[in-house]
Amino acid sequence: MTVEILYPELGNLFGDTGNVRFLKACLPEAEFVETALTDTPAFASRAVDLIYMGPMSESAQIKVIAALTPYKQRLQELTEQDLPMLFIGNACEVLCNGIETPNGFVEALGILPYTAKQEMIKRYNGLTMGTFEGMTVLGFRSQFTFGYGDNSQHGFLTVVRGAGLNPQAEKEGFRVHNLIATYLLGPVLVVNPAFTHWLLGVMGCDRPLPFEEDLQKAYEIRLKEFEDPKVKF
Amino acid sequence: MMTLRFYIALWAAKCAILALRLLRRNATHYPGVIALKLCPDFLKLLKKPQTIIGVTGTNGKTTVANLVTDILTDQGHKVLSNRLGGNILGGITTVLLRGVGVFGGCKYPMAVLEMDERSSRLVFPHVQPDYLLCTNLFRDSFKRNAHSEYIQSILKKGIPAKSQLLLNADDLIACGIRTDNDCSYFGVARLPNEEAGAENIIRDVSACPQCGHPLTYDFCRYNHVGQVHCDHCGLRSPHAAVQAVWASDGVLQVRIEDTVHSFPLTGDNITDIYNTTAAIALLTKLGLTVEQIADSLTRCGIVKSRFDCVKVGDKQVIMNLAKGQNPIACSRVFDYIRKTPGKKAVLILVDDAGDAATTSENIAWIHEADFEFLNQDDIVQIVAGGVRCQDYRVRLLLAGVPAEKIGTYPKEIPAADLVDFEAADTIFILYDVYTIHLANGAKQRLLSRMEGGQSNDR
Repeated sequence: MTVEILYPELGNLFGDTGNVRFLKACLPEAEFVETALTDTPAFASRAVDLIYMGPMSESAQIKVIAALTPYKQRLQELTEQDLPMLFIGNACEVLCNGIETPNGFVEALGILPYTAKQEMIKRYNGLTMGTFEGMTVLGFRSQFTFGYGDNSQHGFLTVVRGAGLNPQAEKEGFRVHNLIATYLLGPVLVVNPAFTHWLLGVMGCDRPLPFEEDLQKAYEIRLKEFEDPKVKF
Repeated sequence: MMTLRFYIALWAAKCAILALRLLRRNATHYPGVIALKLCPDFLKLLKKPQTIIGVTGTNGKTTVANLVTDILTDQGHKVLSNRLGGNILGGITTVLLRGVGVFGGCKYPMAVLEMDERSSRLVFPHVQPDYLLCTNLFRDSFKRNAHSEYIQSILKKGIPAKSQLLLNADDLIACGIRTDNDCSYFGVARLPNEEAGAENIIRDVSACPQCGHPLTYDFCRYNHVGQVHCDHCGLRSPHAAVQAVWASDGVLQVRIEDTVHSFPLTGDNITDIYNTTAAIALLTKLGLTVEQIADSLTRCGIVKSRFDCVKVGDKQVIMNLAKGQNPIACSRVFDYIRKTPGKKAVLILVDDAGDAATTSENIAWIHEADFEFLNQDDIVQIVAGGVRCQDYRVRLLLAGVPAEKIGTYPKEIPAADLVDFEAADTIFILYDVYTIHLANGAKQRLLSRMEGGQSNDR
């Protein structure tokens, strides 16, 4: 079992390393390959079981897009082959058509059919609750961008409360085969034990999670809050 | 040119200050908001002190600004300051309008202003500091500050060309706000017997800001604070013209250019050393002599409102500000706790009070804070109180803390009942800026359980 963490020196914002530490606790036998920006990604030349990338600064996005552009076709092939991939927060924008920034348009990999619009003085903070494969997924949002494009067929979450790809969208993020790209950020896997089970399942290694009872209790407390109409999203 | 509109705004704001004071409020923000509402050019038109000193940064700006104000005042200067609060646009406007008379004449020759780093873009166009000190730049609240590179870019774009900068040489992110300004640096050398810091979860400077190659830390104190160099392009941490070189037993030795001077030091941790060194660097820049600064430091120490210790028999209860949603500030406190001798119990009360009232707090930040520091044998118990207590339990479990050491209760004050004070020599109560009333309630509840203790500020 091999998990490739892409560019952890950059993609580590907003509590994201909590996901990586949790994955390591879930998969103690797995090899974790941490690919630096100056390295060749492991997925380019060998089999991996999960590709993961966390949120980063806006300048880091540009570096990461440049680093991954030579591997665009390989990423598309691996997506078609059902390889699990998880892109969290603005890491998902690396896969979109491009990012409209105050300094111009930044072309991205073009794997996901949407464009991100960046407003650096208008930070959106909020919560999102949505359904996926029969489970309710809970998450936090904190971002300078929204995505615009059609994710109605390939959305990750069907939004129950909160913003989707943009405030008007009914779906959040993208799910293409086993590639999940979501604007939810932070410890998504810690916060959503059922989703972690799904991810481990598509990796072929579902099992009880560490501290599962406590994770589930925290999830249920949060679910109750997210379902409370008085709670501001 | 001051207009009638300006005067109406000035008088309305001054009336608001009086009214708020009658209501026993500090009046540190809203009078400025009123003035700006009535006259959008108010801050531009307002007469300001001849010398303006700004202090910004993620952590320590309040302490440094207050210390500098106290020393200048002690040395006979008439100083306008926002020490009562208000470091964003409304607050800065309020303090500056307090400094003028009813006809708009400025009554102060000098102002020391703590400036919120994110709001500086709104303040700098109209309030241009002659000197601007940046204590450090770290990750802070995701919601307000996003990430440190974002804050760095705001400061970099907004800093007026005339401002002389004083930057922390040990923090490359803070150093990165420099453009063409006149600039000097302060720092803290590796102190005798100082060990390199433990591995933190966050290190925001791992690549050279100049060439992108990996940086080498010659000495890492914590997170990205330390002395670095780049083997590829030769970049090095800048030379600190004012640098602390030794600290012990209430004495701080600081090298200023080539001479080492001794100063009184309040506090015993690295944060106190950085804050005192920063203040010394700024005051020498303002022309105070080493003797004047050292003399005033005997009377003006770092205010300990954020750290308070009560002795109860042979035990102590320490209240320590930990700043919720700020992973670095919490990690510094955790580091202090683990280095405190003896057996310790920790009561964590850092839920965001605003979020608890209206929404569900984004707890992502707790996965960046070094809770792993609390996983050691002499920390005998950790209790989390508040609505997010189960999230803290999960975080502590993931940090390796044994389940039997962790207690939780969904309300802050009753959580004090879970503290096993008999097992510990020191009980730390960690609180957020906005939960101090709850922490005080928890402390009283704990003290009444401990019985017969005698209060005595450290």
